[in-house]
Amino acid sequence: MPAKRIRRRRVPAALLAPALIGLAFLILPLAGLLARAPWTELPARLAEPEMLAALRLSLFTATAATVLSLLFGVPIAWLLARGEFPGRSVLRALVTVPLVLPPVVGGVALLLVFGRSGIIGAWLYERFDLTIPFSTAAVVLAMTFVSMPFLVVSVEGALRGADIRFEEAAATLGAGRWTVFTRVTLPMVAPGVLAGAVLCWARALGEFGATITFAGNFPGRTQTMPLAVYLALQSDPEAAIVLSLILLAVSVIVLASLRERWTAAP
Amino acid sequence: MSAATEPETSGSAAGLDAHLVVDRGGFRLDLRLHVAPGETVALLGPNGAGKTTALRALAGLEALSGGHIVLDGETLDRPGSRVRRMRAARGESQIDGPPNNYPDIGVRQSSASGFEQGAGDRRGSRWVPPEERRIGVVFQDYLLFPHLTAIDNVAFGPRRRGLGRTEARALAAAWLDRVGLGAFGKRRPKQLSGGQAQRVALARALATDPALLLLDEPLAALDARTRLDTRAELHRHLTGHSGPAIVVTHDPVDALMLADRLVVIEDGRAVQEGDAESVTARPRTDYIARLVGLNLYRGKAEGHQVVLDSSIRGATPTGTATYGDASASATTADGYEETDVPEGPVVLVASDPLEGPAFAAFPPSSVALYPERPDGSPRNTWQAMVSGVHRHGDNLRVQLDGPLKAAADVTPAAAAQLRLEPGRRVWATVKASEIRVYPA
Repeated sequence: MPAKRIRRRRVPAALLAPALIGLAFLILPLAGLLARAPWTELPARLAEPEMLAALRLSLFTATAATVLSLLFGVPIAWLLARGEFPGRSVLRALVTVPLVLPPVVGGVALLLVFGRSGIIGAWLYERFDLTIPFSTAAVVLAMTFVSMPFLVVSVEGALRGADIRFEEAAATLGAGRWTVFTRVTLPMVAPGVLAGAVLCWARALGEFGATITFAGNFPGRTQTMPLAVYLALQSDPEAAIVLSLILLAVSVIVLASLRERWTAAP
Repeated sequence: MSAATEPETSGSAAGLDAHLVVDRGGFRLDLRLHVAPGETVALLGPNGAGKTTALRALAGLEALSGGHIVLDGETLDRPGSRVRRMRAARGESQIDGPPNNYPDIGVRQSSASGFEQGAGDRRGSRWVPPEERRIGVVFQDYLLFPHLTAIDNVAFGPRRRGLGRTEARALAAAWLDRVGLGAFGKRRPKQLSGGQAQRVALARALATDPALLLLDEPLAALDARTRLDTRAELHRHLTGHSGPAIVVTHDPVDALMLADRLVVIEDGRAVQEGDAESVTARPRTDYIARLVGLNLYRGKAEGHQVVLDSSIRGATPTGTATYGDASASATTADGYEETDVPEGPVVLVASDPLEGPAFAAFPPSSVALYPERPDGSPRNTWQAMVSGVHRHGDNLRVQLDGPLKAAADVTPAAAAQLRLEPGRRVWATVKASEIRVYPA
């Protein structure tokens, strides 16, 4: 049958073999995690105070970092997408640096600026007797630093894709620039903002390098889930698996919520 | 004042007085528009003529590089400073849209002030941003806000003009009623048909009680049937609008039906202006001739004779759906050139005498085709070659090549009898009484 012949085109072995190996490499560790999970003790382990503390701290700090990213990242995205000023491309490059920067380096940089002898840190300490490093605030700052670019990139893309003529239509109806932004632009790019926020939150939740460098690893104060996983692995591997399972579940949920935008095949 | 070259037309004059000059790398719009209150003017022209640019300049979405816009005595745009001129020339406003479109704050003034040359106008320039102009725009794709319901779309303008939420909604509901969509207030733009969306867009523009109404290709996106109904309704609303209105369109039927006066623009400037009758009866450009379906020639009238310019081969209206094979007709056309075409000036004979430069026009329906030279024929008889046959309504429109390029309308039966196909040679005649001659 000709139709069948067209449909069943052979995949070259030279492509198929590495593809299968690569897939196994990506999937097997996750399967291993699931296989090793202490399913029966799971409820009890989840209720352990250290576990709960890490979970609570992670959820709180990641959410706070997302809120901060929204407050500052959306205006940045607007500036990059709509602004007309010299050096815009340079600014865009700078904003996206944290995307590729090793998080540990980010942590060191934050420490140098917000540390007690840092430019801003010293001033904060002298004026307000405030110390940022190794506090929950430091966790939030570290997370914001590494995750805000995700939001900026996502929102900027949405703004660029939005039809500017709707904003023009709003202007002819008497809307000033701010009103245009709040009543037309923002509602129209809301899906992009939401996707950016979810991505930003997921990145913040998984943040490790910058956090441990800038905020340290104090249980209940700065010990987020990734830090707890790493620490538990040395003393209590089962706890590490449980924590990892939670993070895996979150990742899957995030992926599912973004599937329309990210994984839908063209 | 830098606008010294402009005639000073400010003050009490009601309606729109505009001289729109927009320079944009290679393209220049230079158009004078005067629209009286209650009058509807159609800007008619081919794509790229500058119609939409003119509309955007009036709405404040694009800055003028020269000229002025005065609406009901208030100056909305009058570039004076060098800064403005350069900005507009660079065409920044085109790309950036309104947020970056505004010139420096120094020349920005509230339209509420209502005076001509105030303290901020020392450089002779003035600019009122779009949100402060009392101008309603119906955009080509309507641009209804997709995240708002129909009623909230209509209420958007009144809200921005200071009305409370409930008042704005009541006003919007009233406007939706007036366009016959009272029951569709809760629908989103996506749930509306094209005709309904067009009416919501019209209601949205009118709900702000604009002093000037602008419509950009208001019917272009509609199918033929909806178009008919919507056009009639649009005409009703335009008649009811007390201020000036401008309709941009490339469709002559829309222009004729909706407007009191036509301004035909080509390449950024007005080429013809007048009421529907004079523009369609006496076209002055190939574009209009083609639109209204006339064969148009330019020449020199000497009494009853019009000697046609040899450079002008004539504008001939075309139809749709080509029957002939273009390449085949091209080769036969080559062969045709070599044979028995009489050289020299082509002369048309008309019944009305005239002297001097003139246009000569006749409708395709007045052209009669014969397989042989007709006896005792009308004076305008020439041999022509069929270069194409298109469907045109119930008839066929035949493109004739030869000394006089022309279009002729024949019935399908006649076409079959004459065996009309590209390359076929026929005799064409037009009665002198069918040829309109008017001064160029």
